[in-house]
Amino acid sequence: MSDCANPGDQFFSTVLLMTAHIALKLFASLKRYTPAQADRFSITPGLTIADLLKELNVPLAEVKLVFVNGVKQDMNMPLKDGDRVGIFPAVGGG
Amino acid sequence: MDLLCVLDFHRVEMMLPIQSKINFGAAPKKRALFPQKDLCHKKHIVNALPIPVLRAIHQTGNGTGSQIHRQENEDRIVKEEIMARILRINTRKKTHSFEEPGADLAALGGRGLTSRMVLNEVPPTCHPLSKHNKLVVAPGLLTGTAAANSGRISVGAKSPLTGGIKESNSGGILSQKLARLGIKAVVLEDKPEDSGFSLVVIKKDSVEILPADEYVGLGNNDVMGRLWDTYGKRVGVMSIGPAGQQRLAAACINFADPNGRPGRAAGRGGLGAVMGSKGIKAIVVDDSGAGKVPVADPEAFKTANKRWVEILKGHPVTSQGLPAYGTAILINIINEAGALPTKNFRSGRFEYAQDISGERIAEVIEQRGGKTKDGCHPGCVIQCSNVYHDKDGKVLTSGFEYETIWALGANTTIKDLDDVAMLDALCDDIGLDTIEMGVTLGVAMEAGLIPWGDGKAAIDLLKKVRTGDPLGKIIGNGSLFTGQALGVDRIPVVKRQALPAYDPRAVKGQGVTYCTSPMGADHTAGYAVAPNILKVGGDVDPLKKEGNVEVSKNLQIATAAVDSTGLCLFVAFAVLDTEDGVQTIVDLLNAQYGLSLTPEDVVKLGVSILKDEHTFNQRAGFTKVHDRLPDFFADPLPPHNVTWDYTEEELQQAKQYD
Repeated sequence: MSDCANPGDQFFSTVLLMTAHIALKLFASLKRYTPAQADRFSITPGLTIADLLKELNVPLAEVKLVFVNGVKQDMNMPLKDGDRVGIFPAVGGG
Repeated sequence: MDLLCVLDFHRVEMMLPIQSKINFGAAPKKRALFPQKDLCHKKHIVNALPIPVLRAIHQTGNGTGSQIHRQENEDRIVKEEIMARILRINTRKKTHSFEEPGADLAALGGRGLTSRMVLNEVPPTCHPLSKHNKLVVAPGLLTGTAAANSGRISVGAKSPLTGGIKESNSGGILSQKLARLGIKAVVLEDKPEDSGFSLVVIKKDSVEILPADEYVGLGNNDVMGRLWDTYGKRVGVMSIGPAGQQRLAAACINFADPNGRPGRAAGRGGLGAVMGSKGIKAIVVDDSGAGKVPVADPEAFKTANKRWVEILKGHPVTSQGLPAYGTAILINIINEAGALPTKNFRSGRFEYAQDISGERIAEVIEQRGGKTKDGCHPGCVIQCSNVYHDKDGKVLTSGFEYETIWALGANTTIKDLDDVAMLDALCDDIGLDTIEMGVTLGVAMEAGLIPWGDGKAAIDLLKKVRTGDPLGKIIGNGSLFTGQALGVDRIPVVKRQALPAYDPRAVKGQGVTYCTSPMGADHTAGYAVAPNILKVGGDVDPLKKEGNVEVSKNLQIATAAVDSTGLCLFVAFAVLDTEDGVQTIVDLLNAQYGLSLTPEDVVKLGVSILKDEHTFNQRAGFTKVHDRLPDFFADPLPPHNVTWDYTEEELQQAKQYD
């Protein structure tokens, strides 16, 4: 399309995207994998949850539940700026 | 053949199809429980018959195919006569009697037995505090055996809180002792003409009903401490505190845990008030000298129990999550899911959830020297309970559980964990249901009686129940009564019972259970949180209606059956995820009783119990209009801004069994 964003805008948006941050919380037995500045954790935009967990050296077999913005998601969910991410092992109670 | 018609497992003509995402385990080969033809020519079938049926056949000379069978039956009758008795206590005459269970009770235990007896014997229209009500206390079918996690107890009656039937389930050490004494149920009947209280002491060869003057007015801690001093450490005790003595509708019955503390309770539905109305302060059970519970096929039982322990120890929830962090491990996840009811069900997120979380509690316990792991009865391999110490390292409370911490914490916005623990300790000592009281305190805060989040004010208010202060009597009667007394329009109850720790808008399957369970708003009655939030036993969207009526219905059926076995409900986390989970429970039952049950029979049992309970409620005057949430649940709940949007007709599907 002729009216697409000019190269300057593309550069600007890329920079913005590269500074995506998530609020990350690891719970219960996974708490020990919590990185520094987890409340405002920098990620590459579009990073999947599986990639994020690999980056943090969290054994995938120990992860049972992932919530993004309060909704259960699977490992392939791409993350975006401002997401609230909660990672849990298998839990139960009541 | 007529005799068979009264057997519980045969009451439901048609099997309920299980059609949902919930995995009840693989269905094994279908076998009829008792084939209709040639009934009595098959040895295993003869052995499967409950004793009264066997006796009837034996006495009439029908059906026993040979002399050998007859002799076997006689042996079994003798053995069973020792084990299967119902102890009735007339609280007016202070007398007792033993009886053998009738044919329709013989195959039942736990909730199945309490609900059947209440249906059969309690006029549904009676006042719950009148002489016509009965309190039925029953161990489960597997209780007293070596089966892991089988020591729970069911307490049933017409509820002073809901006005409907009630089964309230508890841990503690009393249930296994009753089972070892061969007592299938203890029934408190009639009502004293004076205001005095009695103590019941049950031993191997005696039942005494003694004056309880020295215990009157005491809290449960002192009652249990003194009874252990008098009757020996490790005796089973169930008792009521000042709330039960005052016959308040939020009064519970506390059960001594293995440490002799009142950390376990038949909490819900005001059953402490029924015990209070019968003038019974406490029941002591001493099983000294009792033998083991008879097991028909010890080898098969041993094999099944080995697999049973493997299942419980092999599932991450029952082997790791629950023992490490306790039930309060749920605080963070339910908060993350946006379903943790906060400030009297205004939001699904509590800003200070971390401060009252299972992780935080485990840290505090480790710092102060309590216990992060504890079992509510011997033979528990899950160990989800705890002992919580105060800042000085002294025991403050035990059995400090998720529902309690939510009710007294997030729901009231009290974030000081020690205040929450003190409120729990007071509930245990005064004998109050922690869920009902947490919601009641929220309602009191709603009215401005005390400020939101003010733990010290809540403690002072709760203490008024002990002294019989009129304000104490108001809050001791629960959320609805308090809301009416204080002019509040936001009272989260179904069938007059306070909602537990999951907002029904954001965990819709759980909401269906709150509405349609015969118990009123009850989280244990059909724990849809498992598939809705925890990905246990399936994965069903909690924010949408689709599939959630079926989820609730099937879980209600399964729960009714589990509650009859004496097994802890938490076994369900492992059972729902394990292919041979249900079959292993069935194997245990078959080995203990010499039966040939199948998993389908377990489903039939669950359905028959729910039918009994709904029948009682219908006769008591309940209709579908009582299956509603309060209308404020039509308002959106942050953060998901979901509403409660089921129609009455949709909800009724959860009660359609045929």
